[in-house]
Amino acid sequence: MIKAFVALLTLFSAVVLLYFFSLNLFYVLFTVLSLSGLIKHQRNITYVTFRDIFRLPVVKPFSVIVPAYNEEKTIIESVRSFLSLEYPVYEVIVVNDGSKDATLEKLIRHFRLEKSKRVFRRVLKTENIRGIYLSPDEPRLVVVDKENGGKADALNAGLNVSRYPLFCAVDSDSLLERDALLKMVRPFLEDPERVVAAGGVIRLSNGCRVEGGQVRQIRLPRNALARFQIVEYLRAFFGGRMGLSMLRSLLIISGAFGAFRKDVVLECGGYRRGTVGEDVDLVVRLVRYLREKKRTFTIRFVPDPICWTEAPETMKILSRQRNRWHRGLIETVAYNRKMLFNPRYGLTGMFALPFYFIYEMLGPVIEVTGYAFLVASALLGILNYPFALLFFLLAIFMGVIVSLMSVLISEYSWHRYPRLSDVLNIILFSFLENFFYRQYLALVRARAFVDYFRGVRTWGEMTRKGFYGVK
Amino acid sequence: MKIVLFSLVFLVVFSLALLLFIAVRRFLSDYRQKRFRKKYLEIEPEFMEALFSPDLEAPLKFAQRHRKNWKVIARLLLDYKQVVSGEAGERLRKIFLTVLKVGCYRLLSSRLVSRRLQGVSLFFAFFEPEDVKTFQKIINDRPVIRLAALTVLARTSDEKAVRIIFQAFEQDEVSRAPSYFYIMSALGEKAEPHLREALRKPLPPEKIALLVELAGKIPLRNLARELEALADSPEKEIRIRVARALGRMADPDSLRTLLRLAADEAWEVQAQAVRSLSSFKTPEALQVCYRGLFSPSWHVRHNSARALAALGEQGLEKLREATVQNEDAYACDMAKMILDEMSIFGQGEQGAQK
Repeated sequence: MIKAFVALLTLFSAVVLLYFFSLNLFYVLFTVLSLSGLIKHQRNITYVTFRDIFRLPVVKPFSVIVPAYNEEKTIIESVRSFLSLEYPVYEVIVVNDGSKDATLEKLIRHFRLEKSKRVFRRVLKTENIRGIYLSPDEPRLVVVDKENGGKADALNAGLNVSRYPLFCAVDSDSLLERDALLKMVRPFLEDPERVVAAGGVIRLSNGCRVEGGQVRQIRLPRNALARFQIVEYLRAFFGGRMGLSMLRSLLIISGAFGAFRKDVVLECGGYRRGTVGEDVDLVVRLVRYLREKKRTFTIRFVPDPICWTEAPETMKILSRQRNRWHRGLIETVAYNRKMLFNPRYGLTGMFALPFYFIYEMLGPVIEVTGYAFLVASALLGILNYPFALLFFLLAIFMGVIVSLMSVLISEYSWHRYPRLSDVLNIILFSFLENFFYRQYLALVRARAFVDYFRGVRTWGEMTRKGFYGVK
Repeated sequence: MKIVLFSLVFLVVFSLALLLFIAVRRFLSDYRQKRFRKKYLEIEPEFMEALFSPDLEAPLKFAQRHRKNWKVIARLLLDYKQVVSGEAGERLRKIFLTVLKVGCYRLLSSRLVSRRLQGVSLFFAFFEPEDVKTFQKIINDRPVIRLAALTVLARTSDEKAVRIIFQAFEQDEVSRAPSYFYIMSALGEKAEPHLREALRKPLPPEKIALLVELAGKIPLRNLARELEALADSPEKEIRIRVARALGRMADPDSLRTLLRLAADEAWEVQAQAVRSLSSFKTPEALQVCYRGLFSPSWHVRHNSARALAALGEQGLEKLREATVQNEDAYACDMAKMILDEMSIFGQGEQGAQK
């Protein structure tokens, strides 16, 4: 029995080693590509003053769609941020998805909204719309009140009501930098026929001072959980997405801040209702649709437009969020399994989706199984302690190097943390995350598999704290 | 085991080196910024005195005294260029010629793109017509340098410069065409003969569309006939732009073309044409916009309703008429919506004409 277990353990160790080295190799590759991409991007925009873009009449107008569910704490500040954007022509469509709190009432009171007789095309099927409100003070603001149907449904309702050829999906607990849309529109200007979607950078607003819908002072939060997430976000956006975009394999455009061509999104049926990972689902379905139609297209990551969002500061909410994200990924991969290792879908079918499947989706399962094997081996007295310790340290330092490189990239980018102590703190947390945080999240994400197969499709309640410094 | 150990040692050393690099880089950049700021604040009062003192030699004396701090002076020049003019502007130029011009040429001939860009950026502010030659040389440089140089050229009244810009536009890749729009807009009426010539050339449709847009943007009313000739283009995008440009020009003789475009086979062209008709307060325009309210396309109905709202009292009367008819519920809803928006916003036209 023990012999068989040892053989299994040896085989599993070999698989884990191979998995570990290939994963880290990819991460290092993405980070190096990100660095070169960022330097190239910065060189290219040295001469672009974004006010010049503002004056171009060829700039297409944007509809900013903001789905909101129980967001009374942050909604006013967020909408104020969206209304203060620098962009020639745009509208802000807030979709109140049947909130149970005072989200709609707050909006009506603050912006003096009045019910209108606005008509729209019901291109996408959605839950019943109860009313459309306009504001005499803010002509660009449109508030849609509808029955609850989930985030994807709310976004579809926003798409139906929207009037402009480009749309930007934004979370209602987020703040956009004033020139974020101007920066986001660049790929659509440079290559209007081929660019179908673009994603920007998400940064965490926890600890930052917010005034007038804008982040005025960038600071690290005191909450350790939020600090761990800052390290994660830096790694994901400056290390991962930029690199994946350079390899033409970007499949995730964050639901908190992504821009799309409306005609193409409508062609492929809008957001899929009932899904919990509507952002990744939309991008993968877009790629699938365009590949099947044999149309040339590109999806870009733009490293300078910034969207600030609030990260969960309690374990309970964080685990709900990560469980949902992982269920969304599983759902998307399962729904589009036809694309996996299918040369018909080009690089997406042969590299991008398999990467997400093997390393992102199955990653936590392999990690948790590894921990289980480790414990079992220790109990059976067959664990090679020096090797296990060295391997653990190796894993830590590989992770730390990727984090350090992401910090370095962020140093070259915009909105770096102003104090050196903040940077050193981030580096410290990239080291500390290996001792509890990482294992905890692996467990949460592995649990998502159980929930997915049990048929859990709920969103999970997210409690907002509100932005710091808002008066 | 040994390999793992060596790998670990390598990773630890590499991590520490990276950490050190980040910390040192940050420390140095903060230090440089602080030093720069301090120097800037130190020199600024003297700089202002050089600009506004009655002593005509003051700018020269200042420039000679601070020749060493050319980076700070460059920043001061660029900052003050935005806010001063007249005699003070001339003094800025004097300081530039004394301290920075030679350095600028050196930057322009550097092997590094970023340095060449810095050089061009300084010339943005202090360009002189005789420098056209220098810029001609870098027209064949990388796109980013070329566009920067062309932006500078667009500020001169030199005929040669305008020709260079149009030649570069015609030869450059289609994907970079939008970048030329801003450059060529700055030319104003000087662009007219070159634009007329370019419109007759067999350029790619994307470039023609951009030139049409440009003619409407400046606007160059003398080119209305050339644009009308393009109203029959097989390219939908060109027809849309023609409709928009003619609307901006508001030339009464173009009404017939716009009416034709309002009956185009593509709904996008129809939508733009009815929108443009709001600049023509004639019975025909009113009639076509009213008919547009009954179009099967949402966009055409929407733009027609907006155009009617912009056409004044008669247009509003037509909108009210649409709300009481029973033939088409969609037209009725659209008219109601626009009238309702007007009651909320107090005006017919919201946003720019897009």
